[in-house]
Amino acid sequence: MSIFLLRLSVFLILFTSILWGVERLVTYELTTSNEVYFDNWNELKLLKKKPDVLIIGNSRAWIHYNTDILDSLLENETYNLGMDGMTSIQQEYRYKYYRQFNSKPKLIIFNVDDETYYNRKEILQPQQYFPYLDDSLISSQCIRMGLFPMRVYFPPVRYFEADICFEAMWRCLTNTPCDESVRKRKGFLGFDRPWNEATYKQIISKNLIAKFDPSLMKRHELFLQSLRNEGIELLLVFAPQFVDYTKHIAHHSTILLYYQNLAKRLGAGFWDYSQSDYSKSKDNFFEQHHMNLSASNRYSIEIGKRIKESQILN
Amino acid sequence: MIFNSLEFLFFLPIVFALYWLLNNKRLVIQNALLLIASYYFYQCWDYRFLFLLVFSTLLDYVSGIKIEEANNIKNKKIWFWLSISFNLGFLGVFKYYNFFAESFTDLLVGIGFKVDLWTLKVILPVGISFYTFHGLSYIIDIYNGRIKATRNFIDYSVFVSFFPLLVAGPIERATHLLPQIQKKRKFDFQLAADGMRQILWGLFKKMVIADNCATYVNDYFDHPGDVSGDKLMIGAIFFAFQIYGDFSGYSDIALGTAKLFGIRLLKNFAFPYFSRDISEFWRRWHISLSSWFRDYLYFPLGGSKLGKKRAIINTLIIFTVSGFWHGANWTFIAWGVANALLFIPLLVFDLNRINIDTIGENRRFPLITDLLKMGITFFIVCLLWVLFRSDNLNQAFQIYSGIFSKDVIWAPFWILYKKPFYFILVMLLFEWFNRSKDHGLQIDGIKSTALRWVAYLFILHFIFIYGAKSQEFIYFQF
Repeated sequence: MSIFLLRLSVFLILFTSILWGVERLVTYELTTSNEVYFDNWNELKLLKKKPDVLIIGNSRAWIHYNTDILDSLLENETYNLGMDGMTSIQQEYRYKYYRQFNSKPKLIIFNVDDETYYNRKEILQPQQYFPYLDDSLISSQCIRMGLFPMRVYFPPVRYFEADICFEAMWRCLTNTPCDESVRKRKGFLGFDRPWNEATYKQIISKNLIAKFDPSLMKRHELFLQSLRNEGIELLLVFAPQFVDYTKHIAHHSTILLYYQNLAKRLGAGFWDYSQSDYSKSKDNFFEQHHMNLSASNRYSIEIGKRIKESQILN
Repeated sequence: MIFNSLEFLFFLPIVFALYWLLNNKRLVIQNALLLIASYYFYQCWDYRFLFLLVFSTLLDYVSGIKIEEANNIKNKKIWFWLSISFNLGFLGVFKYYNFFAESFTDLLVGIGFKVDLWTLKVILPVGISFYTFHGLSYIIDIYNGRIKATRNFIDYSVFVSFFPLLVAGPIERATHLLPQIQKKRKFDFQLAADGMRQILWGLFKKMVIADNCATYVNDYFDHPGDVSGDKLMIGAIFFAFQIYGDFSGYSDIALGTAKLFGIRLLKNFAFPYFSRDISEFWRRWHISLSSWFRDYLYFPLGGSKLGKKRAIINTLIIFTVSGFWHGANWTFIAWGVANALLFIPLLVFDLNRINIDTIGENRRFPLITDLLKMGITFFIVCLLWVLFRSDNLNQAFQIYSGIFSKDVIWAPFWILYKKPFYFILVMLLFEWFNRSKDHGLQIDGIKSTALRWVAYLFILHFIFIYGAKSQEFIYFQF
């Protein structure tokens, strides 16, 4: 019995030590790489020009706001912090992480929608967070959203079942170039994809309800208020979404009213594009929430011009 | 609590430590610990079904004693049929009532009646098919005078509820397991070490093979009408490995866990995809169930002793019942019948026992002819699994029509681009070189400890990196 336990312990210690070494190697490679997913975070530490305009939101933010176009129209540096599936609280943490390395911007465009205050209990693509779990800002919000805490507190198991991380590390070690077609440019990436009717039909066949969590709404308002107190201009924008889809969402008008009142309380602007001309044609979208590249570019031009006209940045 | 969960990672060492700490105490205390651990393990799914399990155990325990003590054949029969009726009654109500009610409704509606039969809205108690079969085998063996009824309720309860086999087998026999429970166990280093290896191998098969294949299978088979023939063929191949990895992986973990407690369970799989014909496949797949049906259904029906014609009918019966045992759905019945139809020609021409040796015995690699036979058998088995996987017969036919389209010629090419294909190759290599042993990682023949440890680390690295999102074990639903 004692020999069995001794051998088992030695094997487990050896295995854990190897895992620890591997964890350090993967973390080092990924936190210094420009690999897709991880450049979302690594780039924030390395921005040469400090942005004056930030865009914050979920995938609708990074797909719709072309930073190059906004740069040239606003004559100010812009950066898009949008990431997939980010709820209001994750957006807040991402902004705080950004501020660890960068100064405050003049203007923040918050892309809001029907899901901004949905209290999601799982993280989309959690593997992209693993190399940054030593950062308490990131780890605390990941645990809050259901990440298994052992990944944070016991690093040898951090990359358990994280094949994307290992594959990315392998590409780093072998200097294999990443797929440039999926790389974001200053946080923006547009897609030239056609409308997918089959998927759309499946989605609208379900019961669509905007789920707002009051505690998230309250917290978000406090966060936005703190930004206003710092003297940062805020703009809430409801980006275009396919109008037929919007008809299926219960309480959409109530949501819009909430954003209008919120903007009023904050002394910020609220621009609603959910009923705009962009929203009326399927040709502008590849799915109900996301416009294709050419529509995103046109939309970015309109947003840029409108900001300029409104002189928010002056 | 499933075997590949964090809860089990804590549960197992605690029970293991307590179990061997109690080794110097009375056997009854050690068995009581196993029983408490097993009941705790079971109630983690749904504590309400624990009452059903305890009732079923108590009934069979009492029936066993009453059958043995009966002073006339009439009393013996009363207790025997009482136990059988209750056992099959529970199974019928929980597992099959809705199937019969719905099928009967469909039939009546089909001939023009307007009916709306009452269906039960209950979930299937996990493991009911397995522990019911434990109880049945015990009662039948006592009735036939093969074993003596045990007077120790704890021993009998552990036999029915021993946690490694409680929810998905292997289906044990009282003649095999009960004597081990009634005897004091000694810690056996070799047995425990092999148990750990077998657990590791089971986890690899479940988390790397089955769960990775499942992602593709679900993707391809959930909407077969929208998927090309080559993908459906790849889906069929991956499902064959998913169900093998899932079920044999579970069995390996169960057998390995039992070995840690000094108990040997019945072997459930013997590398079935190395079979050269369908009858060999059925001697190697879910062995504890096949042998259960052989001993308690096929033989009592006369087996093959009453002539070819009767043997054919009996074969058809046991395959159909076996299919139905897997689930209350016409797809399972069709799967059972299809297997019987492929098995019967071998029986008719006395070819069903020509491949009983280990394939490629004393050879490193198989002969070309054996390889061909294995390939053909595997292809047939894959096609049959489609019935098993489908929600209904329409979906199965939709998949078959895709598989037999011209697109299928691209399957051998596209499968090379799928990650699970390479995991499967690793598994097959290990299993091939250990095909005469109990499991694919039984590498105790390698003298060098360092080499063995490298092999364990190699397998662990797959589990660690490529283990896919955990899916529940398929056989839990049965």
